[in-house]
Amino acid sequence: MRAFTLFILISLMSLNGYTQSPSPPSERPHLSAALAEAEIEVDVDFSGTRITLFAVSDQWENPDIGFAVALVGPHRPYAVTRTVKKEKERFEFISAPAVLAVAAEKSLDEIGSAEALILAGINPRYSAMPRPENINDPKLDLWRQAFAELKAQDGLFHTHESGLERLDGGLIRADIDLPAAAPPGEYDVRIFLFKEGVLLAEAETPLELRREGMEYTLFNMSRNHPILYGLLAVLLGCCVGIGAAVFGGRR
Amino acid sequence: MQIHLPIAELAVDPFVIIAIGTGVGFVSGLFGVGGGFLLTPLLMFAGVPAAIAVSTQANQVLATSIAGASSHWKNRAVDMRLGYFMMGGGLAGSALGVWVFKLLRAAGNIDEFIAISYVVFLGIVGGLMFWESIGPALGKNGDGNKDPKRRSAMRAWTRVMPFKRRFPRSGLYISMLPPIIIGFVVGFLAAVLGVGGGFILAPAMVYLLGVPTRVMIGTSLFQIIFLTAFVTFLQAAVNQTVDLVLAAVLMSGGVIGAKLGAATGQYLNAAQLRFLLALVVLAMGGKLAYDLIFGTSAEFALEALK
Repeated sequence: MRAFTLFILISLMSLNGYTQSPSPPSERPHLSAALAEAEIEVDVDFSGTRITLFAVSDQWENPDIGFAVALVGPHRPYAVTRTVKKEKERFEFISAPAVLAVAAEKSLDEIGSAEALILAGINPRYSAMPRPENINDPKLDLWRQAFAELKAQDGLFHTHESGLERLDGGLIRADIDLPAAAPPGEYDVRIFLFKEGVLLAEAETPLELRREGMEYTLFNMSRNHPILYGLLAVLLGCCVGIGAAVFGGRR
Repeated sequence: MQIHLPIAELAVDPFVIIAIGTGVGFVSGLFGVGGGFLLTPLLMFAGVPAAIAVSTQANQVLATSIAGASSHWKNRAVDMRLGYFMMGGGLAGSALGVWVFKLLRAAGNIDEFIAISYVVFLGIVGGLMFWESIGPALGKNGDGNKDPKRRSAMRAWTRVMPFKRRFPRSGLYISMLPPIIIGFVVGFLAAVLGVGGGFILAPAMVYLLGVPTRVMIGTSLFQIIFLTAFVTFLQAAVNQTVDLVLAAVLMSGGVIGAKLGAATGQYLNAAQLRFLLALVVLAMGGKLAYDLIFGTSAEFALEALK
């Protein structure tokens, strides 16, 4: 059954349903990827899930090659506030990922150089993009570090250093835990190939966390029918209160 | 086990939320306060973003207030006439308070001003209640609500104003203006301080209007029902910060807690209730003073922008 699943996945990779690194020169290694599930439904009982990515590379047997997989997204603006002795400072990022989860064969420092990791977008401390006028802010590193640490505290930025394995036949498998706090939206799952610390190739495939059921209904109503949502909120409070009064009174 | 909150966009442990709702509901039913001043920090402690916590607590307080008020209603301990007058003043005061809050906020950093005002206010209210109730609560003077001269002086203003009305349930014959004014001031303070206002309203009704403690609790809850319904609607419709899943889980514990609190209140005399409420108010003021002096909040905080 497992062999059949892998066969299907690899077959799919040869079709249009996957993304590949853009036309690499002939000496560049081949790398392509596909997800076991490209869509995940989020309802109120969503308690996190595990994303499984399969990739194919002609370098899978090369011990000098290091692989890493990252789940990144959805990008949105953030503000970090710093309070020191009642004085408040605020710094805004125009875009940063809500989730940055990385799986690798070993420590990222052993796989890629600092520059290569930044280039790949998998160094959490360089994941947030400031406004253009703040690019030379002397405290930019401090704000970026604070952002990454706060995200890590929430379990949304994490690295799993043994979350990737090389299977037979040029196949690579990576498992990434997606926490329950991950917001619905558009994600990318990217696989990177490093050699001697240099990023040689990458491939990516999209992943969507889609609201379903009650989660979708309530979110959609709150955004598109706010008056109705407000009335529903009041009605809920009244019904629960009256219900409790009647039920409690009978007892 | 966890549940995903559609508006807050995070997962929480429902049993923790139910426990919070039950505890706050108990306090609400026992003392006739909404409980928002306890619920908001507890939700934030559980990881709920501040904006969602502030808005959703109003929805939970609405349900617990209805459940709590119903118990007092059956015991004929709700003065609806008094409640309507205070509600009218409260809604006007809240609206003005929201507007003033915006102005103050635009003028600069008012967080410290609010925190200091809060501590001073809670300290005065809680201290007065504690001082008044400690003797009777310990059984030394019977019910302390029975007309010491000083208290009569505090209420004299309610008897000299025009437009007098009878409030039979409270046993009062006073001008209708004091309840409106008190409702207005409490609504204004509640909006500026960002809380429900029940813990301000309760002592004001007892000490300034002379409402008997048992009627005060039911009437306070009665007024809170309308205020929280108003706030819930505005927060949900304008800011989209009311999370109905979070509110539903909170309510399931809150209504049970409110019924238990109201039932427990029947076994306590008025002085004991005032004494316990004074302790709650002083504890809250002490906690805020501690935070203000020692600054226990984290250095960095993250906020997702729209």
